[in-house]
Amino acid sequence: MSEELVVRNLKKWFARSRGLFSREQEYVKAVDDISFEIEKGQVLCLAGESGCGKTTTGRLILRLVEPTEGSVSLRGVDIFTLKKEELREKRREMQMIFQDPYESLDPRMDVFSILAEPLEVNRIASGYGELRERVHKALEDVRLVPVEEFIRRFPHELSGGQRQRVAIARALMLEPTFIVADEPVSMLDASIRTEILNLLKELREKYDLTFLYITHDIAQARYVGDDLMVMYLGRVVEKGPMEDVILEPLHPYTKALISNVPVPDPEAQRERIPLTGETPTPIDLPEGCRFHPRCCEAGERCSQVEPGLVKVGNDRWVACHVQAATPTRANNI
Amino acid sequence: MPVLEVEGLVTHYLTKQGPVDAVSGVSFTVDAGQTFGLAGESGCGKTTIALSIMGLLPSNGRVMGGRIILDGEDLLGKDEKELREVRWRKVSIVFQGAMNALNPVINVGEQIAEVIIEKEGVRKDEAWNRVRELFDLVELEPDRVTDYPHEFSGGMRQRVMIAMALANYPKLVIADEPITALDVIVQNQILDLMKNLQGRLNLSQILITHDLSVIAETCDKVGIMYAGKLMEYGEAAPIFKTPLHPYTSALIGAYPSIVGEKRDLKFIPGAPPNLINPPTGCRFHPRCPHAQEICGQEEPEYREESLGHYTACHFVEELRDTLRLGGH
Amino acid sequence: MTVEVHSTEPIERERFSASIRRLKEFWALYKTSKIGMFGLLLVLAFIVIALLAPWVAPYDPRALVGRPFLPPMEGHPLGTDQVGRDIYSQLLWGSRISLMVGLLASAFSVAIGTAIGLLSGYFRGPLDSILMRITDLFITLPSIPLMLILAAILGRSVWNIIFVIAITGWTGTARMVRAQTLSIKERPYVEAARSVGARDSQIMFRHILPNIVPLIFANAIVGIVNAILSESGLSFLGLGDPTKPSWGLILRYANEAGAMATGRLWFIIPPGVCIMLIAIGFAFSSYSLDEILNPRLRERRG
Repeated sequence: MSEELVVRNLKKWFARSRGLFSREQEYVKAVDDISFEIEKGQVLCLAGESGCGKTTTGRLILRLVEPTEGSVSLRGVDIFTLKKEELREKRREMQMIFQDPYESLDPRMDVFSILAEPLEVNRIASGYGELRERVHKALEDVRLVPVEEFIRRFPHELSGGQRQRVAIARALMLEPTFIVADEPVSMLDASIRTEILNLLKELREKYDLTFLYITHDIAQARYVGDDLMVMYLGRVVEKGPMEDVILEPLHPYTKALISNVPVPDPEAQRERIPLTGETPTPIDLPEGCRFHPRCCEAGERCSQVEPGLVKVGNDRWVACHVQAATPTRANNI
Repeated sequence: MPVLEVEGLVTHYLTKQGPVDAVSGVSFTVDAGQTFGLAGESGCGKTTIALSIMGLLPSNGRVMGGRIILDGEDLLGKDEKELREVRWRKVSIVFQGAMNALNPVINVGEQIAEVIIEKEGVRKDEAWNRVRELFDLVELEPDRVTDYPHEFSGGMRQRVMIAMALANYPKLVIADEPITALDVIVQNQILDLMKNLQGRLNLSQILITHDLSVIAETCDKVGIMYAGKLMEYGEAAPIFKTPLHPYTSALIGAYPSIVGEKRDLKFIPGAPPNLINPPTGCRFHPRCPHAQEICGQEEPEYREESLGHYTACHFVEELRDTLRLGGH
Repeated sequence: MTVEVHSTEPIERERFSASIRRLKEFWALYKTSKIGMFGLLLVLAFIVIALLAPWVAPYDPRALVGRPFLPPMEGHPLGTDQVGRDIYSQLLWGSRISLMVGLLASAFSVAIGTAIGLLSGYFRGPLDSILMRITDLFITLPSIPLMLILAAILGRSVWNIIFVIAITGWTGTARMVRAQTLSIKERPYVEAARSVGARDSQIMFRHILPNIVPLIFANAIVGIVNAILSESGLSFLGLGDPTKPSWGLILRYANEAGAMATGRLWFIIPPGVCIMLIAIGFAFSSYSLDEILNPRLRERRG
């Protein structure tokens, strides 16, 4: 199988005490039983609104946070079963690009030190010569040239776009095969985003990388991704090839979400599906489908049984009783 | 008569390294019942314009020239006392991130009532009645006037801020990045609300944001700011359909779209300039793919190229077709 | 396109020159503060006095060189004390005690506080609980009586004084370091370090410590002021080393001899003034330091 990443029944529940003085526990079900795969060389975009669990999912996949349940297998190896040293070695295959270019670089380290760190802590380079060589190559890869000028700089001497390039270079230092990009351009100005997005595309081609690209901006996801997976309140509600999901969304939430994405064209006529209220927090979830209170297509079953993620077509998945049961869908497999 | 007329506004920030030319001769008008979108990336001067209008510049900010005529009166000729009369009663502002700056230990109703009482000297119960009215206006349950900020979600807190901005029924509301921190569905709820209120109260709005998609969907007129200057100004549809300035075209092209054919995104190399030492000639020329020698020497004239559509570029005619077809 | 690597300097030298650059920037900023420069001047003056005391002081501070209670006169700019020792020489030598105790006691207390705060904040859990209980205990113990008791028990020597001051003064640093550690630990760049495989010790030394050093430093300077004042107080109360000419000790003798009442102001005022000046010197310097360190951390963004 050419699966790079396989996630099975992943859960992360955060325990909290109910109120200030209570001893009762309640759970914030940030990630509540999700399963999916990413093929080698693919870019899967994970989209959803704030609080849907996408950021937590990204961190679980890199095991920056321990799961409540479930497994994450990178090329056949479940990273949650690894011990400290084994994990450290396995980590070299999977890296992360963080969202905030202002906070993901240590302000007291110069660019050289930041890029040398992955190699130094893993005792990889066989001396300064090799270290320097690899740092230089990384900077060239992200087009921060002339290299000599940038290695001595500190983060506060770089622009937002340049910092993010350093962050990308750092993610590539250990020569990983899989990268989790958590909203890598959302804090950059629009005119700079394109450069970074194009750079990511280029690097993906060059190094045959597999990406999990997390974003709340579906238009951006469309630009970078092959597949789209939408999350709501800790669960996956829909997954499929990007263009298919965008042009023909199945899940009512996806439909509403996509219809609400603004378009830079004042004359675009689009039918907007409004939703009442706001997305609740993942505590005290309703019975049955967690979207049903806001859903205009909800049926009786929806308030009783939680729908599972069901295959409804070629690589098309949806978690909805109504959609899964639609005859036309079933016939289109 | 337009509600707001800004003419040749020049605002500087005084810093140790020298004066920062943050707003360098900006002019625009906002008519009654209209939404004017002030777009641009970070550092372009849009927030400075808002603060200049409100008279709320920080201590090192100075309006160096121009006129700001609100409802027939020049605000720049007023002293602090007179400005305080105008502020919040004729023009109010929803600051960027204000929804997170609410006082956490005072209930929201109290915070709004404070504004009303202070500005109009009405009695407490009258103020509270108006607070309940305002809540109704912004589609919040009037019973919740005594709740505390943390009991509201992000979108609801923003409605509270809008209520506060409307407390004295101003003619003009300036909203600085009012929806940036919110999810798209809530964003649209807020934008719909503001459009709705605009109609009901004959309100005018200045919407300041970096998000061109939002501007496209809500604004009647648009001003594209770059490095302290207006690069293009006019009605929204012509600007988006037939942009006349290379920066506008590139900026629009930098936004991926969820509809239509998938296309390559445009990008602008380099970074916005340092405004202590802005570039000579056209401020955009160092990053402009169409720049010629004259662009670095002479500042292009800001002219009306077609009805109500202004821009400043040496090569408007030559680039007209290139920019329209989405060329770069 | 490959870029030629011209520099043959090893990495360490490159990082060193980066540090030099930072120091220069820092100094340029520091120079602009009048208060800071004044404080620094005072501190430097005392350091010079302390270093040169053996050569500049006209007499051995412990030697009996004249009749007791001589007023200021030729050979004795500040007269003599109750047994006939030169006060001026004692004053000069006294700066050594104050500085030595001040610097060492502060250094030790900061070291202890940092270690406890860092381990506590980084590892959390039971270690954190225990260390914080201990810290709370030390906070609640009134420091002056504690110092008195320990000094009385351990005996009168300079090193005991240093120990006593250090052992009662680390709690502030510990709390501050712990708070900072907790905060820095959550920063994305620490998470990034973990994701590239850095071990706990590597994270603590590469990321956390360097980012709290400026604040520790500011704390340390304030600690010096406290240490100097504590030492003077302890010496005044008779718990200091009687063989070492500390300013506090001079004050003690002056007090015992009723210098105030008998109008022998040259005896009692100079040591007090010295204590005050050196404390001001450090306090002003630290004020200036704080001003630089804090807004600069804010300036660093964007």
